[in-house]
This record gives sequence, C-alpha cells and structure tokens, in this order.
Amino acid sequence: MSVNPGASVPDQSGHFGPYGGRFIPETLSAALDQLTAEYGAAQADPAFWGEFEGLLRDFVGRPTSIYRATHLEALWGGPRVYLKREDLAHTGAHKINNSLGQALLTRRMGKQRVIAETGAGQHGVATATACALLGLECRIYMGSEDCRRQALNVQRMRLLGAEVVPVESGSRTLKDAINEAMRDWVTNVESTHYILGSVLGPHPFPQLVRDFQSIIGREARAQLVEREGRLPTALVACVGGGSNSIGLFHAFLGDDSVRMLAVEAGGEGIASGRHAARFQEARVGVLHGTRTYLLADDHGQIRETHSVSAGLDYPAVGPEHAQLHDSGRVEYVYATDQEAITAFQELAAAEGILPALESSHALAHARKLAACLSADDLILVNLSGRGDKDVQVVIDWLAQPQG
Amino acid sequence: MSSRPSVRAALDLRRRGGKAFVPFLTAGYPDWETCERAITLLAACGADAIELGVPFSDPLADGPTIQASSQRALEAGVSLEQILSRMESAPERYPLPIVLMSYANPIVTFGVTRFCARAEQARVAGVLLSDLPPEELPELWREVRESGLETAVLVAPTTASARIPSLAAAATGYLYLITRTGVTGQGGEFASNLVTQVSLIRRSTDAPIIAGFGIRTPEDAARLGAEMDGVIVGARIIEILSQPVESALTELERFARGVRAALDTSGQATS
Repeated sequence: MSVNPGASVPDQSGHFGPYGGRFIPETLSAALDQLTAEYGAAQADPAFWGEFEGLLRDFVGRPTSIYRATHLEALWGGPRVYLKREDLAHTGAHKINNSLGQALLTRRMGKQRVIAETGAGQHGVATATACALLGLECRIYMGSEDCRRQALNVQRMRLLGAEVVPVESGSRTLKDAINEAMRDWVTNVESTHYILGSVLGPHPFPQLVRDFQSIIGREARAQLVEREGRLPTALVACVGGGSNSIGLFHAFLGDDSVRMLAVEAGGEGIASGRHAARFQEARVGVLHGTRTYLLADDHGQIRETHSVSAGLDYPAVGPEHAQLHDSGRVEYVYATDQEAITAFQELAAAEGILPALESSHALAHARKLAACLSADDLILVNLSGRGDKDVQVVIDWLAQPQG
Repeated sequence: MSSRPSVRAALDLRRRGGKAFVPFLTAGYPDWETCERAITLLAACGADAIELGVPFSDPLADGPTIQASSQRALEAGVSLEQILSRMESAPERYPLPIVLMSYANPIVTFGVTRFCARAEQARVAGVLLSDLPPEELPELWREVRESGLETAVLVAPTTASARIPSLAAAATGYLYLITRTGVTGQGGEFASNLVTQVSLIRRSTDAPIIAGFGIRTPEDAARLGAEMDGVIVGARIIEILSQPVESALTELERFARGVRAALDTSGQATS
C-alpha cells in the first residue's frame, strides 16, 4: 500500500492534535487495544492488503471511474467538472471499502460476530454484504426513524442475512444507533467486532476507516493526472461523520495547490437550529468515544440534528476533520435540504445519474463554487453514493407545498 | 463548617468492621423531593456514600433503566448547575459523601475550573466519569485532584493486568470493579475472573474496591461483598423509585435494609 502524506497522524494514542483519543467505558479498552495491535500487524502484512485489494477489484469493481460531467459544465459555466463515481461501487456507495477491510480484520481476530450502526442504510448494507461474503454473523442497529426513511435498505440488509434492530431511544437516528451498537459491543466484546462506519469513535477507528477509504483519493489523483495531466483546482465532498471526504482528501493533503471543501448538512438553515453543521457552531466536546466538534446545548447535552439526508444527520464529526478545520487545510461549508434536493434533480436530468442525497450536498456546493471559477479550473466532486434509496424521500419532498 | 466529606474515609471506616453499601440515584429522579428523601432514607438504612448520576443525553454505558431515568430527569430540567445549587443550598439533605457520576461532556461543557470550585462549595466528595479513562484529558484529572475532589476509576473484567496499576494510581476515592461485560442493570452471571482482578488491584493500591453492575438482590450483594470491600446498587434502586412515591420509599427502605443485613452477614463471614 502506498504511503499517504499525513499518514503519521494520529499520534500513538490516537490524537489528532487536541481531538480524537479514546473516551470509552473501561470494558472496551482491551478490545480497542486488540484491534489496534491487529491492525498494526495487518498493515505490515502484504497478504492482508493483497486480499483486500483483490476484493476491491473483483467484488467491488474498483477502480471506480472518474466521469467528466459536460452537461453540468454547460449549466454551471466556468470550470471542468469531474465526478468520482463511488456510486458505481458494489452496493452503491463508498461504504463497502471500509466494511470489507474491517470484515477481513474481524476474521483475522478470530471473531465470528459483527455489529454495525447505520444511518442512511448504506453502511448497513455494505456491512451485511461483507459479512455474507466472509460468512460472519451480522446484526445492524438502525434508528427507527431512519428505518422508515430508508425502508428499501432495511429489506436489502435482511435479504443479505443480517438481523436489523430498529432503535427506539432518543432521536431514533444515527447517534442512537451508535449508542445501541456500543452497548451491544460492551456486552459481547469477546466474541464480537464492531464495524464502525465512519471516521468517528474511539482510536483506532478514525485511522483505520480513513486508511480503508483513502483508496478513493489515490485512484482519483492518478486518474486525473492520467486524463488531464494535472491536479484539480478543488475537491468537493459531503461530510457527515466524514469517511468519503477524508477518503478523497487524504491523497491530496500534500498538494498545496488543491483546495478542499467539505459540505455539511445545513438542514432548514443554520438560524433555524435544525441542521447538522457542526463547524457552524464551533463547540468542542466528547461523544461516542472521541473529542471533536459537535452540536450540544449549554449543558453539554447532545442536540437532535436535522437533515433530509439520513447519512449526514449526526451531531459530531470525525476528529481528523476537526484538526483539518483548525489548520485551515480543508474549508467546511454547508448546503441546505432545499439546495441538496435541487442538486439531486439537476444531476438526474442533466447527466442521467441519481445521486445519493448525501452526495447531493456536495453537488449543491460545487455549483456555487463553479460560479467563482474560470474555464482554466477543474473541480472534482465525490459522488459518494447512488440515490435509489432516496427516491421516496425526494418524491415526498417535491409533493409538499413549497413555501 | 466541618471539613469536606471524604468518600475514601467513609468507605475505609466501614471496611474496619464490614462491607460498604453505595446506592446509585439519578439526580432529580423521579423528582427532586423524592430523590432527596431517598438519600436521607438510604443514609438511615446504613448506606456509606451515594453515587449521584448527572444525567447525560447519550449514556452509552447504561442500560434501559438508567437511560430512561436520565431522559426523564433531563426533560424535567435537571442539570449539573441545578444539582450543585441544591447541594449547596441544602447540605442537610445530603448527609453522606456524594460522588457525582456522569460522562465527560457535561463536565467539559460546564468547564473544569468552574466545576471544581462549585463542587467544593457544594461539598461534593468525588467524581466518576464513565467514558473518561485516566489517559484522556490529563489536565482535567490533575485539576480535579488538586481541587480536593476524590476520583473513582472503573476496572472491568476485560481490563488487562498490565493496565491495572495506572488505573489504581488514578483512583484516590475507590476502584469501581465492573462485575460483568455489559451495561448497567443487566442480570445474568457475574464474570468469572473477579477474584483475580481484585488481587491484581490489591498489588497496586489499598484503596477500597467496590463492585457494581447488575447487583439486584441482597443475595448478590452478599456474594460479591464477600470478595470486595462493598457493592454499588443502581438500576434496581431506579426501578423501585419508578413506582408511586410512597410505596417506592417503603420498598426502598425494605430493600436497603435487606442489602445492609446481607452485607453485614457476609462481612462477618469473611472477617
């Protein structure tokens, strides 16, 4: 595996500057030590990466293409626009990269049972798929509100042999699914691996999920250099927990000329309070094992978030993003529900691609960015997933009286 | 005014002739009056200290019972600020050493310096944060210790022996030995290696070792009390307090006296 610039972060104890770490109940300490050690051994094991890369090629269909969206270029004016087609990966999103990597680690640790949380359902589907492939028992925790919004993905997971457990506590979305998965893990820690789906949670998850996802940026960088003979002016990706964005950005961190923009969910607007734009409020705290930017009230109670996109509907952001925010290397912006829906419609009509509502946030901002750039510029948008799962949500949205 | 209460001193005093009983209550649950009456009642029934839960919205180490009580307390407006204010304004309602138990985020958000100062005014004895191991936020740990707050630290059945000395060193109040993998309030078997964990802890510290998680009956208390310095009972007490107030307090008294008697018996059997 090629070495990334910046691959030395986090430090030995899992900190990205003041962020990250391991804020966990003591019962999980040994399992995280085991995972860290096992991942360290796997990193140095060519057979592990050989098997992983073989599955990415033959099972996932990597490398995913980069596609020049000439119709968007005509509509937007200005720069060349490329899409990194993670929507073409098996199961329909980038999530499969991480799920397969961690499922291989699970087998390496001699564990037979996997649990995972899911928001939009894409990580759940990817994990159920990896478990079916490798013969692992699989249970997925999903907020009951998300089960309703993403009913198709629930059925997909069940057909893949996973048990799906709707979570009724709290806001019944992703954060509550993570709480339940953590509780399961604390209880069954000796037999079970928790395949966390984003660059979140306690060390070593933010590091290993990033490493498994960094294939996105390594491919995109090589593909652009081959096709265009140059690096992009800017990269744009959505950020919920932040795995598709960090996966794209990581190979470019050392390329100072490349701007990077990460797009949070603006929901109904920042002033409404109904959003998931963590960097707009600048509060640092501790949630789900890590210290990072999050949305909480003045007493430190975690707030309920809102986004039309279940995959971005989460109150905290990965700790490496917190560091990249503070250093200024990545710019964090947001797009509202309405902007995302408009971008969804535009890509469908212009290019014949239904994007995931998560990825639609990146498209919405890319359009704004394009208006400030010239024909000499080139932007690449990470199309992190396909939008089939969101069709009903979009139809319902469009049927609402717009006011 | 007398000196600040010490949970370590209270537990050590009990250890000379018996086993300690440390009930857990969610602060302000089911309401403040009942909660404070329960503290007074538990003191009269032979409890040695109280773990008072500062509710958090995402309590991932807790099972459904304590989660639900935390949620209800939050909905009623309970906050760290409110807890400290009540303790400060009516110290007679807190006749035992109080250990505030929570998660990192409410304390970090309140501000550590401010928390330590207010905890001193409120005569809080100690603090236990379920998701804050001693390696994280060392400046918070240092400030807490220097302020005179005692610290309770968790040891799990899965904790590796090499890690125990650092956990023991961080605990100035007591070691909370988790009796099973899992969340609070679950039944089932206790972990098989508790005696081993106790002996490993003993090599590093003479601080009290108090067992908790899933201790639901006087029999559980007697069994674990025989091997530890005492027990913590949480979810079972919250279940009792979920009943209508008067019957809840009657049953709480009966239960607490049962636990006290069982611990006294097991203490005699081993001393």
